[in-house]
Amino acid sequence: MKSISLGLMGFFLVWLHVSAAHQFSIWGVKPNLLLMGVIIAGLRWMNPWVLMYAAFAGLVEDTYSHSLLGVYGLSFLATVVVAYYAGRSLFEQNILFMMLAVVGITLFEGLLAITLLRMVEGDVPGLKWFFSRTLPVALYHGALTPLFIFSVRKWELLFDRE
Amino acid sequence: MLDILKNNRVLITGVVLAILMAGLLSLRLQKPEIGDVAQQGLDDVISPFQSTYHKGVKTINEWVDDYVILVDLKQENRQLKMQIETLQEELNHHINSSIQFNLLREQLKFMEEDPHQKVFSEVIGESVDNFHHVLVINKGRSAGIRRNFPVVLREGVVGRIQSVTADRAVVQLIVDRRHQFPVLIQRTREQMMIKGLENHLILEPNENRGMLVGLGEGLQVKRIRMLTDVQKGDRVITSGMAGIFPKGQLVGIITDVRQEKHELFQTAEVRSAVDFDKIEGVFVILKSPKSNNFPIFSSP
Repeated sequence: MKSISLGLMGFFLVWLHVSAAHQFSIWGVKPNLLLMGVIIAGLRWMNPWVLMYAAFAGLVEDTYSHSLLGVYGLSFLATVVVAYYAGRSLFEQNILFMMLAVVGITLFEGLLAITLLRMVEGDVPGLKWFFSRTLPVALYHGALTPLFIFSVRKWELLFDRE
Repeated sequence: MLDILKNNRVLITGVVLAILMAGLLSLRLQKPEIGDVAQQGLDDVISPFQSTYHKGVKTINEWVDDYVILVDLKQENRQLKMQIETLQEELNHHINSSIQFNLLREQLKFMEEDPHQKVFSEVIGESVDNFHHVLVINKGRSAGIRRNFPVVLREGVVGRIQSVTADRAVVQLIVDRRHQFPVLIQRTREQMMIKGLENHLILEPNENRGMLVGLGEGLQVKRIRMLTDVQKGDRVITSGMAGIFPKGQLVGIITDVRQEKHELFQTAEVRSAVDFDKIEGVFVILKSPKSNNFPIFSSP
């Protein structure tokens, strides 16, 4: 039941991101709710389903941006693995550590995505994108982390009671 | 054997998925039409969510417009004020309807006057990342739309179809960094290439021609020869040379021409004719009057 409920939450995130992420944009910077979901999942759990969710989320991101399936698929997959090892090596999983981890891993994913985009699209202003897009998004993700963690925990508790 | 698989299931899943992703990417780059099948599958999963949201937001907005405002006013002040506000609301509604009617009439006029066969499609989404500038529209292959078909509005050129599934299509806007196509300065007939910028469009020459290139949210023409007559306020139109856009469609207006002392070329900033923040619907050109199958300016 718990895994089904988490799966549902994953789908809810996909829906929210694809349909309404632009509603949360601040100064033109949209939070990547799918990426946040992947990072938080990686920090907390690791099993084949989490990996599959990361790949699926990446493919969704690919579909509704540049249509080159696989770029975000690969970067999200690598991100969830990095998030898992970061989660394991964290001294303690308190909110501050989680926020820092989310910011760091978002920066890592951005760097990886820009590198992959440079390979397939060429002529990508990598450094400019990193500082003007990835960095603000990472900070935004950091700020959203407490809310995200709170929602995930509440959701988990709801089904634990049953 | 089973134990090995069980113990390493995370690793095995990870490796299989990584190979799958790399395979999909290489397939998409080498044979885009095969990659479309995978995209169709994903679209089938995602599109119901997107459509539901789109319809939901529309309904809620209508509901808010029609009822919530009036309920709030009723609480503030009783009947008389409410009547006045109701009348004002009605007036606003009529003004809005009138504006909308005029806008739609203009687009309808464009639909009738323009010789190309077009299909109107509603915008239901936009790029989900912060690097690309695309729109998602609610019509696809079943409406006759194919990859690279031009997307226009009465105001000017919007972009081209980047990918298409049965009932959805992704439009790459002309201001996207990946976009560049040949254009003409309407006044002088000088040919240029235009390209999308991060914040505007730039024009740059294609050997002897300029090229309009998409770079994010604007357009710019770069490397215009010093002797070329380009002025602020000049209208930039499509030249029809790229094979994607029909000739003569308005792209934008030159807002600034820069001429640095140490540089051998000029650079022109172009303000797009279309306000991309306000697009609710677009026309996709399906057929040119000169061709039976595809627009002659587009590849199948």
